[in-house]
Amino acid sequence: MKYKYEECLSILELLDLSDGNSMDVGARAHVEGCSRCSVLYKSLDLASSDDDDISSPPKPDLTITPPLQSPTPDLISGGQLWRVSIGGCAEVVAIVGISRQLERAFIATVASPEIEQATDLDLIIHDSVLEYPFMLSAWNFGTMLGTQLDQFLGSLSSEDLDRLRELHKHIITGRGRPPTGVGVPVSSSQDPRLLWQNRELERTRPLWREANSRVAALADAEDPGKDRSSSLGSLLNLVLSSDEWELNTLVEAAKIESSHLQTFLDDRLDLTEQTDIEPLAKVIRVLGLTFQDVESAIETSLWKSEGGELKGRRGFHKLAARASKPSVARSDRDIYRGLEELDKSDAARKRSIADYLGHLEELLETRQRN
Amino acid sequence: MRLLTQEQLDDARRELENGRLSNPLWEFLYHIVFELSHRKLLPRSLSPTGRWDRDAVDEVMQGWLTDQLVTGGLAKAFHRVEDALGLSRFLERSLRNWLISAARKRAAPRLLQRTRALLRDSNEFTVVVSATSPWSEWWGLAEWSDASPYSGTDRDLVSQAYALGDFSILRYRSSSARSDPILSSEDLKLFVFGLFRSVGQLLTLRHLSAVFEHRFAFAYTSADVSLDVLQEETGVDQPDELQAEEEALRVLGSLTNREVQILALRYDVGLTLEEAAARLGIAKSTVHNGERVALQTIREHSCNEREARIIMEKLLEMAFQGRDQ
Repeated sequence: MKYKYEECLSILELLDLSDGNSMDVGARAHVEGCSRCSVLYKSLDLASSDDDDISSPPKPDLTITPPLQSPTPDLISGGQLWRVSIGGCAEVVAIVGISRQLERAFIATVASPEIEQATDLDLIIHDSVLEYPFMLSAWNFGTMLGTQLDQFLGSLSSEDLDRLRELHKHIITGRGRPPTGVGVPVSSSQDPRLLWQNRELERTRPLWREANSRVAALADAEDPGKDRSSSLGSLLNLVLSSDEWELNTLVEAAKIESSHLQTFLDDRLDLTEQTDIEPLAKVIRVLGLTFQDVESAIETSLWKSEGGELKGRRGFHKLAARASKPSVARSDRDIYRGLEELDKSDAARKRSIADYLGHLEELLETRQRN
Repeated sequence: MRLLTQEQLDDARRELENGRLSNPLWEFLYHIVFELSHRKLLPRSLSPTGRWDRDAVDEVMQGWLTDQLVTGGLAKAFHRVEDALGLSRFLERSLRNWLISAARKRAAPRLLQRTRALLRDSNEFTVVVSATSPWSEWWGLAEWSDASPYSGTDRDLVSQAYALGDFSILRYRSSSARSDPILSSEDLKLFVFGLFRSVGQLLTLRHLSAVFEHRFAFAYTSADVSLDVLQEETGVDQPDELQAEEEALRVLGSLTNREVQILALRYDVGLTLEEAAARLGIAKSTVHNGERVALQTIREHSCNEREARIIMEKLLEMAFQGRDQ
């Protein structure tokens, strides 16, 4: 898919097409198939102009401060700002750190000029090396290859880099608090800034595609015999290899911790405590799947997972999984830790699996009814 | 040919890096303003003079250049586009946003004046603690019998204001002869009432000013305004057929094809979110988000919900006339 700033044509493009000045076959085909552009295109023929003299007045004397010319560094490192080209479009990203999964690859976060959309997960940079204020959307991150970086634009101050890393760590682990210099937090799903975030995630998704494909290819090469055809992990890997989803967008859309998604991808479900049912249900809902769609794949993953049934504690995991605050479930688990014996027999595991699936189904259907 | 050639684009990029604006880029910028305004694709209310004539174009050109383009706006554009098509799309959107922002700034002080009038005139609000200055009076909902003054931070208050969802607190319409955008009383009341309800505590105008300043930063520059100036009247007539058509055309200019398709499937065909997602081959959340953006855009181009419905009907009629959805 070609990645452009916007798919639909600008008025000037439509005018050039209308006047016969453009021979762009793709543009004409787009207009024919696009409800929005075809109506505008036709309206341009009808819209008359009171003043046809389009000659521009003399150019005024303007003072434009030229950008700071920073020499391209020999090494790519944290805090650097790069322009990245993708098709007919480009983005600015900030390097957060080096990828542990791929060689010559980097964890980057998107820099956006739309600072009015800042939440407490966006670091606002006023003292700008880019000539305009921007924000580092730490929630919109991914892995990029060094070869994707196109033009070096400058570097963040060491203080800003520290704050970016602190924010990034907060997002990944869910621990600590956002640093200073971020926007106002989101307290409701109705917040219009979330809508903007979703559009940004969708728009910038192609940035991470190349590195993600490499990671998937690497996983295949390392473990070619792995059965990727029928488990939850295989299903999610399939989803993530499509154009529709990336790892971080799925985490963001489902509002779960990325560590949870990673365990789902690895077919490591929490069979014993069953504390991951809620985030799993969120992922299933976000993907628009039903319990029936995923039941068999999840059962396969549960059989692959470690764990079993805690003797004398049947039903406890339901309580733990339903606890609204994870800390409540965790403290309960700590109290009970060591008091029960784990039964890993097939029969016990089978009961646990049935219990897990039963609860998941109940959760999905309850939400659907509501 | 209105678009820049690749050679002109590369040259413009080099010139900018040396702090200069190339002649072809200057002409290109002028063409964007001229064509959008003279083709009636911009609402009259966004013009600084109330109409789109040569003076207005020149004034907009000057303002856009000095306020935005030479102060980082062009750098922003060139950081994010690769070719002339991308540049025209980016700058066209940039111009629309700048015009809306400039018009909102012109109307900004009235937001607080109208809020004060709303609190004073509506039966749903009441002064609980009087003060010598209107800024320090504590207001609450009339239905409350026992509410305490707000003791939280402005930051928490702003967060709660965002949680109220999408608001077109500033709407504009091309048929308005006034140069200021029209403020919807309906939206303002919903917003202020929603905030009191959400906070559950008494607030002062100073609090509301802080909220407006953050939540509508583009529309609000200073709280230092006279609260005794009368607000403008907001009564509006229903648009006629031609006005609705012109407005629908402008809305179309701000939407993407996918958003138009989503509107059609949801409001014309009557599909559920799931059905629309399946029909378009996209995620349900994408349909939901596209719908919110489209509705918000229509609301910005209309003065009330009734007018918004009329414009949406007209838009769908125009977009799918003789087409197979």
